[in-house]
Amino acid sequence: MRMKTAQADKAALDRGTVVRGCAVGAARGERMQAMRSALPALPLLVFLSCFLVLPLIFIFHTAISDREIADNLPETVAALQDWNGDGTPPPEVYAIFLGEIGKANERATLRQLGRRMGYQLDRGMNLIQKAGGVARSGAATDAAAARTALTDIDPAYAAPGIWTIVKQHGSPYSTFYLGWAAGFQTKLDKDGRPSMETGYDFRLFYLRTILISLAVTALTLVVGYPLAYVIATSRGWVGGLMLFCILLPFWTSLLVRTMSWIVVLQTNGVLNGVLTGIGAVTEPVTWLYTRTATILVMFQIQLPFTVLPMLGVMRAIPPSHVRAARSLGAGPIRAHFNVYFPQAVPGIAAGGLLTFVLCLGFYLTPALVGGASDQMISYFIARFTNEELNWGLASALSTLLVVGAGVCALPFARLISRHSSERK
Amino acid sequence: MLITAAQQPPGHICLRGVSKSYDGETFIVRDLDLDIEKGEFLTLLGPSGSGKTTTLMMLAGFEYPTSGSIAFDGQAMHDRPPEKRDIGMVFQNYALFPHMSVAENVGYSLRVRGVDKAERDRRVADALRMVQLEQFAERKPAAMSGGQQQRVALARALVFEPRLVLMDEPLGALDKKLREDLQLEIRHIADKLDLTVVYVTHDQSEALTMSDRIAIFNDGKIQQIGTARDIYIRPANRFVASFVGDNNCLCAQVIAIDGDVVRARLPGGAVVSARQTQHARIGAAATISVRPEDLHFCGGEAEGVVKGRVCDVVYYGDQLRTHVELSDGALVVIKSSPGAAHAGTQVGAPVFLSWNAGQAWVLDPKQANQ
Ligand SMILES: Nc1ncnc2c1ncn2[C@@H]1O[C@H](COP(=O)(O)OP(=O)(O)OP(=O)(O)O)[C@@H](O)[C@H]1O
Ligand SMILES: [Mg+2]
Repeated sequence: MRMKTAQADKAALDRGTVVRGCAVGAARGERMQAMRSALPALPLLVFLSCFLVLPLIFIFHTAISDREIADNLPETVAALQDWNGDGTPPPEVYAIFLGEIGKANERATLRQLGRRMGYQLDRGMNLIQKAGGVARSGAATDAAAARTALTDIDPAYAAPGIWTIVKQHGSPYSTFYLGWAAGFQTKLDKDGRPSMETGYDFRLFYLRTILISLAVTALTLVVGYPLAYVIATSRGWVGGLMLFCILLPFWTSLLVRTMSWIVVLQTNGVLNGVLTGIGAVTEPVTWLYTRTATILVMFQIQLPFTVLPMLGVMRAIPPSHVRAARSLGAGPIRAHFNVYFPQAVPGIAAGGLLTFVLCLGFYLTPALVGGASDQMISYFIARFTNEELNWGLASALSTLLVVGAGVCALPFARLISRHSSERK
Repeated sequence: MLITAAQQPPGHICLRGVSKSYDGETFIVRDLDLDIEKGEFLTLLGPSGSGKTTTLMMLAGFEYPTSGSIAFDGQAMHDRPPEKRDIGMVFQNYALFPHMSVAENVGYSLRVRGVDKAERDRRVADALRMVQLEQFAERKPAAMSGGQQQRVALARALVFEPRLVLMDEPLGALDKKLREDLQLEIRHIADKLDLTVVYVTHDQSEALTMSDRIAIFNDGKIQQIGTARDIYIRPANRFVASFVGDNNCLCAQVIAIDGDVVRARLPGGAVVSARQTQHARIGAAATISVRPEDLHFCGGEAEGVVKGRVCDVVYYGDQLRTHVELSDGALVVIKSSPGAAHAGTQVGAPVFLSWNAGQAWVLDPKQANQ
């Protein structure tokens, strides 16, 4: 975007047009004007930057920062620069390493280092703790003794895995967490080869998140479009009543709504009661903790978010357009799809996009009514934030989610803005 | 008076006893009888809310009559959907499809009818040429001025050669100059293609200049239907007299009928004369209507002269309007050229007014047809 304007400016320069000066002056004036007219939005901008932009920056920063090795083992990293990665490093490195482990132990940062090592190396935590024990004993007085002590206490120290990791993560920033979140195999065994332990399959979780979101979006669109059409075109109280029914759930909290679904869907719940009562099923059906329940409840929560933007656009379509099409010979269905539907597309796109993006971040609903295989990416973000305290990974997962949602939203947002500028 | 469908000559559009009520209580259109000739330009003129649009919507098929029948060429129409009526319609807000180009808009009716591409392109080009917009075929409607958009709407409504064209205040959103140009253009096209047009407006000068016949609507009823001249010169009742052009309506009592001329006494005592119509009955109350341009000032008291006092003089550039209060309290307006003899008349001065018996009409004292 900026490049384009730069090119345009350059082109104007090359042509050496006289108008350029005035044009730039006018553009500046316009910018000032735009800035002044945005002034009343200043409180909002301040609020947004405090509570949205700054946290986002913090999250992005956490996702790429990887300080433990750089902070605790800087000299080891420096000493490893000459090591080519084959076999084991020279004994001096062991001595420096042991010295830095001792210091980390005194600073009480050894656990952090161990946890970081454990993310990437089989038994990494255990190895670091053992090294801490060696350093505390003070037995190793020279380089050879340090090497013997370490390789004796754990043969992994005689393998290249741990040293490769230390050498590669000597800088305070890395893409380690992002790669992990994107589903690459990051864990190594003691020899530096990919580990047998595969851990979480984040690609599956992202895929599941996208599929559930798509299903909910499609369902809200299919149900919401006719609904919005009826509300937008009805005269009198019918439309008002329907709008009220759609908006009603807005006035109760998400948690209460989800809990009430549990009452409806549980094995001895309302739905099974009705189904067995009318004889549709003989055994109660398991609804709760299934994918169906997840999608159903998310659909109910998201319906207003899909309908309201559609409604806004549909209300602006003059009824005379469909009438014109009909007077020109098109039947009601044809007139609708030739004339009404294309004009409603920006609203459909806006409603669908809103629901899709909101669905990507759903946490509470799948956690309460979904099964283990219905948990979406937010569940894992919460889990790494609160339980495993792996903020680097949680931030990386969030970053991928935000960026992915942005990439999905962009083409739609452009479509919507193009349509709305066309209508004027 | 009732004509059955079979007796109508072809080309007739015929409304019989058409009534419309949205809520089942108040009737927006009441017992309407209307015949439209082939090739006729009929204007529905009336104040806001008088049921013009509703009548048009029933012709187009977007509303169905509560009772009564509508027939085209002897075929019953009132229960057919709009797409089967073969009617071209021009809307006040143009109703062009914003996502289609001008050519696609105009060609839509042909596309729906399955006309092949080559033939369609040819007819669209012809229609655009007719409204002088051939060079705008690929534009989107939003990129055109109001007048151009309305011309596109006109081309779109005519391209499939409908048997009836309906226009609901098509020029209402345009400025005066453009409106006058387009009035002429529409009239010209209608003549050239021998279109049958029903045109709705509440601008009376538009109605007077464009129409073959005008139907004056009030309260869901046709008050009078006839040529512009008929309606202007011989209003059927007080409503028409005051709605079309300016008119002075005076209450009077008929005292004598002398061949063509009726003598009547105004409440102030003066005896005046007016042209006979079927409304005058000796001894009965009547309304006498005189156009402001037909009132004259005269020197003094005489037979057929009314006395009054000037209460306002308004200068309009090309004319002067003098508001006079008669001795019985009635208010009248006199239109005259600014250079006339009495131009310097002071407010409050006494004046004497008269008119030719041939230029005043005796009307039904009722306000309007109910
Ligand atoms: N769909 C409707 N439902 C109920 N009442 C309606 C409806 N459409 C019109 N009306 C009423 O019918 C009456 C006549 O309306 P109509 O649109 O025919 O008037 P009009 O003569 O076209 O007036 P205008 O010059 O303002 O367009 C109005 O009082 C209006 O409120
Ligand atoms: Mg109207």
